Amino acid sequence: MKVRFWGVRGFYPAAGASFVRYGGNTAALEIVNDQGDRLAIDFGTGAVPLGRALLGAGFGAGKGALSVLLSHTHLDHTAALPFFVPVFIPGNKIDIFGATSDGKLQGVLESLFDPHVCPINSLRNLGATVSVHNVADGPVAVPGFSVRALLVPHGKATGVAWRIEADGRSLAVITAIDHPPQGPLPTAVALAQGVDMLMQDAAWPSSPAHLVQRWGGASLGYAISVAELAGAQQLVLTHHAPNHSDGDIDAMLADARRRTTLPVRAATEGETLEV
Amino acid sequence: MQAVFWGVRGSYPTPGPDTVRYGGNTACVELTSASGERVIIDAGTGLARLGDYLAEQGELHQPLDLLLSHLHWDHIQGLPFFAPCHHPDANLSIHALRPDAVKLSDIVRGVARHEFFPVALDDMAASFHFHEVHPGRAFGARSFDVRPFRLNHPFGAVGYRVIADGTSCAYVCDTAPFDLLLHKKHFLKGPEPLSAADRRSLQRRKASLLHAIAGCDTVIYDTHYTQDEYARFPHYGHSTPDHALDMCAGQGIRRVVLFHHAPNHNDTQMDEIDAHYRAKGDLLGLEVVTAREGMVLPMGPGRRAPHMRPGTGP
Ligand SMILES: [Zn+2]
Ligand SMILES: [Zn+2]
Ligand SMILES: [Zn+2]
Repeated sequence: MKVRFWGVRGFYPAAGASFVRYGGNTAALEIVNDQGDRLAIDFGTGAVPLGRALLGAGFGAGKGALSVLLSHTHLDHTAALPFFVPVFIPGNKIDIFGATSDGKLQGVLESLFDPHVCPINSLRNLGATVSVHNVADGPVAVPGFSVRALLVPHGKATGVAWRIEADGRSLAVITAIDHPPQGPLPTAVALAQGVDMLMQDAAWPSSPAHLVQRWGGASLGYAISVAELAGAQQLVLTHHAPNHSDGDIDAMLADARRRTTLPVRAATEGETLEV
Repeated sequence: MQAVFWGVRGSYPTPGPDTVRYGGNTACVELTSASGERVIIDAGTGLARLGDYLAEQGELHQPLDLLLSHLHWDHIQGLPFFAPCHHPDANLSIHALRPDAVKLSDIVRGVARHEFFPVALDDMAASFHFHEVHPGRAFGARSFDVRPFRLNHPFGAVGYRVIADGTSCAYVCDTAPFDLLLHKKHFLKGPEPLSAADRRSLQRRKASLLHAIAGCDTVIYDTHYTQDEYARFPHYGHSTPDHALDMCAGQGIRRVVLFHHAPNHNDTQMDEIDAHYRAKGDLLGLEVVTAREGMVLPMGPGRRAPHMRPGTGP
């Protein structure tokens, strides 16, 4: 199982010379198993170049199928949907899995296309077959992978943490979570139990900065605790804050490596990792 | 008066090494008068960076007027991350067109809600005031005189002529040209035949635009597409540099700014566009400038040359 990082930024994209090494696009991951089955996690602006890359993999001819797992519906995880070229090509099949606090993911995604904000006006005007699935805690049927969802608190929105297994390897992606003040959310630790790789949002170097309370998301301290308590083999820090330059992320990574003996890396746009 | 470009990109932000010189943030232009007052046009991701700057300067509490051309994502997505929105003493007046029956305040609340952003407009600390814009009806914002006019863009958009310090700047974005098709409220799969009423409507919009930009020092224009791209996507609501130069030539305009760059145009392509249209502008008696993030554009008599904000660019 391979993971490619198409977008590693949280909140909003970070354009400019200070952000080119780690990358400025918002959250998007592509996961491919050894048989070539593919899924995406999150659809921030990084999913736009993913869409272009997929045109050569059957999606250009309307023969593509993609499952998209959303951690939540904030724009840094959904903004690429109206700009993801495969959705305009008839024949492609896109299945979107996620959760909202009102249980109406379809309605929220539809309002991404509302005529006030988007010239496409409606999901119905897309060429591809786009199906939206609300998930609950537990297994989710995705071809080629064993997938589990866990609903977690994320501000007034609902977040979903994901565990993905294929080829005898496991990965947990936790990028939209407000851990309680007393320590990491126990259900999230359980979800990530023994994974080969844990991706955890760590936008904030220390808790509890005022931005954490205002914007939600986790800090480096929580990310390390989840990884250690779950017995993860490797921790990947992601969802970098839009104000953190490449140098700031280098410093946070160095700090993380002082604070844990686990292998830690910072997610980097364009990189592919073998899980 | 001077303009500072905080976001110059159209459609969606394009961070990365290939857009570092022209910039990857979406539409946001700050206009400042000689007395230090400011109005901001559009709230793309560039607005978040402007908010960081205002925070550094300790100016979060200053009353601000935000003129929105329309509410497409690339013109609104920076608003929830604009630092003054989270300051209890801040006062933001938002001016925008109301395209349908929905109240302007409800439209903006519907966009900036907690399903899409960490902090919804209803939970922001600042005070918000909503002012509906009526094309053809001038209004004041701080000491700026603002004249809105209707553009040709899906679901409606307005341009603004902003007057201060005895000089004028027009913002013409987003708009398609005024010949091939008329944008209304429905989704277009391609050009649709024009009725006689459609043609009259296009003529009126073109005339009001020409009237509004005549004699401006600077016109900032939606030049999203190259000619070839426009031929393929004439129904997406954007113009080309050729169309912008056609509209501006012979109108007593000094300078045209190419703006709302297509997300697929990297810095190398932008250099080519810049060189080509500067030369074409010379022939037409127009100074052509390609907008870059961080660019400062002094306007009016005794102005300095365009330059970059300190600390911006590669
Ligand atoms: Zn996020
Ligand atoms: Zn636009
Ligand atoms: Zn638009």
